[in-house]
Amino acid sequence: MRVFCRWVEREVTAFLDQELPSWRWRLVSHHLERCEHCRFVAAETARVIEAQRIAFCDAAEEFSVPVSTNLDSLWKKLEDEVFADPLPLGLRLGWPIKRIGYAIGVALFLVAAGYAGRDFDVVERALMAIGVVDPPPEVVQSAEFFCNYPVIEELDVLEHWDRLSQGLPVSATPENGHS
Amino acid sequence: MGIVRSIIATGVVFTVSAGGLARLCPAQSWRELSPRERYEVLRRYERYKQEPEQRRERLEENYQRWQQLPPEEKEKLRRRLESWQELPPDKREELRRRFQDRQGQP
Repeated sequence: MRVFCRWVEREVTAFLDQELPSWRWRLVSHHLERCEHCRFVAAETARVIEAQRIAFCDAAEEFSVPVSTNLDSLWKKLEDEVFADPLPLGLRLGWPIKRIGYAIGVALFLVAAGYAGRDFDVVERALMAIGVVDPPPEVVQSAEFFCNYPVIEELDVLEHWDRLSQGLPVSATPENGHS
Repeated sequence: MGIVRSIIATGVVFTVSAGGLARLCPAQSWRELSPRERYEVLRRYERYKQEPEQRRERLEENYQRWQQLPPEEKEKLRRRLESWQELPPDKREELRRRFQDRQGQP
C-alpha cells in the first residue's frame, strides 16, 4: 500500500461526508478513480456510514430527540437512559447479565456493519467510551496527555513554525488569518 | 431491549467518531470527557502504544515542555496545529524534514 493510500484512507469518511476542502476532495476523488484498493475501502466505509445513519435515526426516535439536534444532547439522553440504574441494590445483581447483553448487541451490530474479523478493537474502544468497560488505567491517569496528543506529537515543528514554514503558501501560516 | 440500546449506542459512537480532523479535547480528565472525546482519546492511546520506545520518550519530553508553557503560548500552538492539519502530507513531511535538518538529526 502506498503512502498516499494511507492518507486517502484517513480522509475517506470526510470525503464521503462532503466535508473536505475542494482541493483535497479533488485529490481524493482523482486517487479513487485510479486505485482499486481505495475504491474498495470507500465502498465499505459508505456501507458502514449508512448503517450508522440508520442507527442514529433510530436512537433519535427512541429517545424523542430530533435528528437535527446536537449530538451531545442525544448522548446525554443515551447515557441517562441506558446507564442510569434506578434499581435498588439487591436488583443490581442483574447488571453483569446486562453487560453480556450489551456485548452480544455490539457484536451483532458489528457483524451487520461488516466489521467482524476486520478491526475488533473498535468494539472494546466503543464500550470503554460509553462506560460499559473500564478503560486502561494509564489512559485515565494520562487523560490530559492524550487530550493534547495531536499538538504534543507535532510540538517540535509547531514551536518552530515561523522559521520552518518560510516558502510555504501564505494561507498555511496561522498568523495570516488562518486561525 | 438492552441489546437494542447497546446497538444504538455503539452506532452513535461510530457516527460521531468517524472522520474529520483530530481535535483537542477541552476537558482534561477522563471523567469530564464526553463519550465522543473518550473514543478519540482511546484511539490516540492505541497510536501511542504502537510508537517505538525512542519516539515515546520524545513525546513524553514534548508533553513536559507543553505543560510548562503559558496558556497564551498553548493557544498559539493550537492555532498552528489547525493550520498543520490543513496541510497536505507532502508539505507536512517537508516541514518535518526542515526541522530535522536544522536539528542535525538523521
